Amino acid sequence: MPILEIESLSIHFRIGPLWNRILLRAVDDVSLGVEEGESLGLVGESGSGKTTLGRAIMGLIPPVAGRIRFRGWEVRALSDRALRSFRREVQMVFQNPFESLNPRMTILAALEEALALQGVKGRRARRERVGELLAHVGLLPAHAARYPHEFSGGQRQRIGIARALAVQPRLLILDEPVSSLDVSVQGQILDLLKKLRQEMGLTYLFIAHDLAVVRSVCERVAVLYLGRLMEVGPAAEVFRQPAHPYTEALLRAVPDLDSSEPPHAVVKGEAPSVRAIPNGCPFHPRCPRARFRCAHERPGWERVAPGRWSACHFAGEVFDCAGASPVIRG
Amino acid sequence: MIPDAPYGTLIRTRSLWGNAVRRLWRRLDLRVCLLVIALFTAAALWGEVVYWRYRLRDQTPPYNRVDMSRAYRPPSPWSRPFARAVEALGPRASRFAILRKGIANLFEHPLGTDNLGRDVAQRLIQGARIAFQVGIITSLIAIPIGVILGLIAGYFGGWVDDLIVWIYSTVASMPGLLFILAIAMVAGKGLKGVYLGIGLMTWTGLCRLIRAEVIKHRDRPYVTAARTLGAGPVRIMFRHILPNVFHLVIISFSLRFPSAIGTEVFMSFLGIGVQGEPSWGIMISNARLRLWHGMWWEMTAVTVAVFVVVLAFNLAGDGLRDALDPRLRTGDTP
Repeated sequence: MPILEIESLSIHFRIGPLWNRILLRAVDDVSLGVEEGESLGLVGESGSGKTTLGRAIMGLIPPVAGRIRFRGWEVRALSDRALRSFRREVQMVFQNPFESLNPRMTILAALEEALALQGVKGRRARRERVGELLAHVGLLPAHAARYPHEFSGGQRQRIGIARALAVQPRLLILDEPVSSLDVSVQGQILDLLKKLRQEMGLTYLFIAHDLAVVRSVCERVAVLYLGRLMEVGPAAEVFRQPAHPYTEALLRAVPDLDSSEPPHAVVKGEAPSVRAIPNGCPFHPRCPRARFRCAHERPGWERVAPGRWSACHFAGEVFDCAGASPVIRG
Repeated sequence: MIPDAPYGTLIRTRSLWGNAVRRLWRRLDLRVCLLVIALFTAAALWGEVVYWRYRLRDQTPPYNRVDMSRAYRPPSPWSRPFARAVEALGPRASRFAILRKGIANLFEHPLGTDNLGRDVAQRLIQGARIAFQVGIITSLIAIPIGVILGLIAGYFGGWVDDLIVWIYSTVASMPGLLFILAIAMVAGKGLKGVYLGIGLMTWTGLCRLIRAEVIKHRDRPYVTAARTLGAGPVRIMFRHILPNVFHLVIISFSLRFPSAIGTEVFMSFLGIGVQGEPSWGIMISNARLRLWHGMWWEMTAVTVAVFVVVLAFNLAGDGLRDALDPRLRTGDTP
């Protein structure tokens, strides 16, 4: 049984002035399961609803429809008390480490608060635990007395991870944890995340737009486009042989150093605004394989191989075609 | 689950405020400001002691003793102290006695006397008491109201915000003096009404500032992070957001001191302020009438005192704000 189940989840926002309200479908009818101990990558362009989905799982944004269940608990229906123990099990690491730490709190105060909120009694016990946590994410306990601005981006992200780990969660939602870091630091943080997952048996929901990052951390990947799920499957297989034209386009857009041909634009134009999502398949205006049917009929899930699902009318065709000429070698 | 820390678990904390004061002290100009504020506070406390001493004994305090024979004396250094000593003791007196008398004359009325023969220096020190009380007490009334309402309005938004904005707009749109007069009427003549009036009138500016700043902060990721850890609204407002907007409170405090003193001056001038006790306001309104009698010293002394105190509060408030901002911190002492 999956540790986290998302069932036809929809999150809509009403934005704009009163006389011109627009319904923004940030997440639309998304179903997804995360198995205990696995690392699921959630991939998509900016504005595809990745972060919204992550926040909804944390219970920060109420969904309009569908349900999120964590180990059988319905997140929306949790009482205050249950929400507290839920937050002990699910934690979040934020994208921007410069913004996600309170500039007026020392690292000690920030981590101690996390511990205190989750009921670790005794100042001494908490301080010892803070020292352990910092050592665990590769910082010195002596760093605890400093303020966030005294650290580099990578160190701050380590602190953010330490704060999330303070409550010993089972599921960690990583909202683009490395996208605002230098590439050299990215590798260190990714190594740390891999190490922590092994040591603590964590489950990751890894939100990212960088496919290389997802490939290195995640076993399974889910591709999101304009708030809808396009494809789900094991990361290695999806990257080798995509079953959805959008995934294929994403992969082809990754510049390849080995290849002599320049990375060509596979899709036309930019992603449409979430304010006006196209009818039918949301990808059809940009899809090189679009046919008449795509503009009128919303595709359902199609299973192309064991554990591989694609929301495309012509999933099999794409899959076979990609099988003939693998998108990414190796 | 988590292995033992490989390094010594040595954790020290340095308090933000301790550091701020240390850094203020390092700057000479701010050191002078702090010294002025300390002197002002000391004068106010001394005034309080003197006031209660004579009040409990039911005596007229020296600064209120009328002695028409001493009226209109300019500051002693200007009134020939040594020549007067010679006149008083006669030419036969020893030089030592003359010197002693002369020095005594020099410090008899260092800032002169007013039209009723009361010592200006004593009254000036006594006036610091009222000025200090007005500054502190009106701040104690206004700042908590402004901070709490501002935090609530900014954090919760929606109809709560609308309500609070409506309240402070209403209060701010009332003519301040009328409001203070009305409250002074209800609370009775005297300082109580002035304190209440100024306090209940002047929280709107701070409230507006705090609200705007909190709106900027409430969706910042660090607040979201606190929320995901299970922090409630009160904790987020007071422990997370308030420290980040606290510089506004400091500045507001340092700026309202002078304006509160100014208002008190005006209220005393109108005759609804302090009764029977010297305040800087009363002294100014008194000195204004005597200026064309040639009595320049009372006005000068009070004006200089107000100027110095106000300047010191402004500079110190500014410096403290910089010192409290961790992003501006350089060269920390470990």
